[in-house]
Amino acid sequence: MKLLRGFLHAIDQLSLWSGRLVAILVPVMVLALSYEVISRYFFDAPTLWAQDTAVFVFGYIGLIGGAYVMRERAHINVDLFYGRMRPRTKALCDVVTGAIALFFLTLVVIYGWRETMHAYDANQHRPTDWAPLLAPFILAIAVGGLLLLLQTLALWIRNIHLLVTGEPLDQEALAVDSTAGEPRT
Amino acid sequence: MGVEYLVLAIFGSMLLAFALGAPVGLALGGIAMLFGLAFWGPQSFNLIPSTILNSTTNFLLLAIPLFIFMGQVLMRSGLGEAMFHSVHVLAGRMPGGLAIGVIIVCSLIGAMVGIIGAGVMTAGTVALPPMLKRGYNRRLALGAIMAGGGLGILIPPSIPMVLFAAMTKASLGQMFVGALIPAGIMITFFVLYIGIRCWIRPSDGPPLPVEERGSMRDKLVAMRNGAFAFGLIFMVLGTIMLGMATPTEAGAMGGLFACILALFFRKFGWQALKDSSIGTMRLTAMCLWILIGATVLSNFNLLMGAGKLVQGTFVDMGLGPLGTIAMMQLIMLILGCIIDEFVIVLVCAPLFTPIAVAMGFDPVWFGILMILNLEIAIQTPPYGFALFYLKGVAPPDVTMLEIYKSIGPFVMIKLVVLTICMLIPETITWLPGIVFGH
Repeated sequence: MKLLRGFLHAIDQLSLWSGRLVAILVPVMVLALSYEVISRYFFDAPTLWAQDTAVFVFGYIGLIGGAYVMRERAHINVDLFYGRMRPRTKALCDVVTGAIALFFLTLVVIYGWRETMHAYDANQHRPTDWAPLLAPFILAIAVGGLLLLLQTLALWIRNIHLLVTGEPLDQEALAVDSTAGEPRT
Repeated sequence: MGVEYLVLAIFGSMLLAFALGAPVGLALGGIAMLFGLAFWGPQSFNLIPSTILNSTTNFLLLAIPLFIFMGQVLMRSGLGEAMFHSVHVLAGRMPGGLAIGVIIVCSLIGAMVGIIGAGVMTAGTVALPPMLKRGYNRRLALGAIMAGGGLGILIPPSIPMVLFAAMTKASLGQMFVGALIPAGIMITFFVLYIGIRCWIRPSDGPPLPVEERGSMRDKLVAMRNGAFAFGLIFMVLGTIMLGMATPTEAGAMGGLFACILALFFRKFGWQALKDSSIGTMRLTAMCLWILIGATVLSNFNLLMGAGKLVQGTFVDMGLGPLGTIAMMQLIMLILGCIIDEFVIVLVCAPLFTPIAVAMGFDPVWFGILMILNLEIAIQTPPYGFALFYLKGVAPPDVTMLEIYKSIGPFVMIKLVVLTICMLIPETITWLPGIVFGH
């Protein structure tokens, strides 16, 4: 049990820090595209790299951030009925829906990785003037999918424990990170 | 088994998964792939990487983090609070002035952010307590805040519009410009409603006492804040309309300018930048993972011929073109009571838009109608984010029931605007035609 708790805690930390790491890329994106507009419009010197860089960064922010959001259980759901259930009933629902999510994420990781290897072997490039290698762009799918798969699995195991024993497995570190947890829509 | 039953089974499983509280994006993707496995075998899994890669390399979608970042920075800059204080000074003397001020300031905030949360939460925090203290009619005050905050997704920039454009290949720039006149109509109606109501019954919105009306200096500060707001709005909308930047690039410029403005207000430092970045990452990831699940499902539906089936069903109903559009609006209104507005766009846009286009309608027009529809969805009980946000920030004595009861007149106005824009398409299509010239 202690080993299991340690393992789940490690996954939580991985999700937290990978999310914080890709958050650094947000200002990078803003700066890259602002530079492109200013450079193109005022100096008549469009860049080759800005758009592709921003696209690249976007994929990693969005896909890897998924695990961070899952750690806070903040992925959008409809809690019309769910919100009124007792903890153990919620756990039952989570075990069922979690299984669907795990199935999908497993496919995302496997097929995302295959596609990366395929693009790498075929030496594919982005269809832009700068034409960077495509494989690093596709790699985000497998990496983001794997992190989200692990975090979903960690919550799933906790839910099974709650469902079977009626007791929570551990005090999950569900505290929302910093003050960033507000409006979403 | 025919396609009809398959579509029904998929739709049924979808609703069941929603009712069980599943994370929407992962559930949609998982359900699509389970049915894919059952009917076509593992080859349907090949949909996944191509669909995801199309989403993550879609330059339009980059606008989502950029506009969210801009909103996050502004929320922390103190500009929103400053604008509410300005309105307090300028409009407080009029009957209903504070409530009208909420609509005006929320419109300006709406032109800087693409979501509803920022407006509802800022107005609910800053403007609600003074209104309640001055004896404003409580339902009027609550309704005005939700109506104003809701403008966040109608006034460009707008995240649901980005999603719609990405799903349907409609022009995002045209959507942004096309939304301006409907937004203007809606703001006018809100202001007229509040003004006339408080003019007839001044006790609903008493004017401020003389000593609170502010000095000359306050008024100058108020005007300076207004100028900042318009400068920022120009950075986004102006650059798009003048053809200087694509909507995505305008989002980046807006984010940069928001940081400069926030520095000026001295509320910006490493902590604020860090929080804004993390907040942006969270929202972007939420959006992207729903988008992935929804596009996997809709691509699967397309391959299966569900689109044709839905189209056939609408044709069989024999409602005529405009009747069909009205029927779609009705379906989305009902969905809006129970489902999140992002999910409505992602599920309904790819299913309905091709039908509307095949009947000869403009996709930009159809998209704006959908956004107007979402305006209602966000505040129809039991499930609507304007309701939840307001409950979250309102003083504890404001009950959920009171919030539910406050929506009536404002939902009516929104329905009227939706109907006007449906019957007179020029309200939406005229301005983009002038600006982009065709």
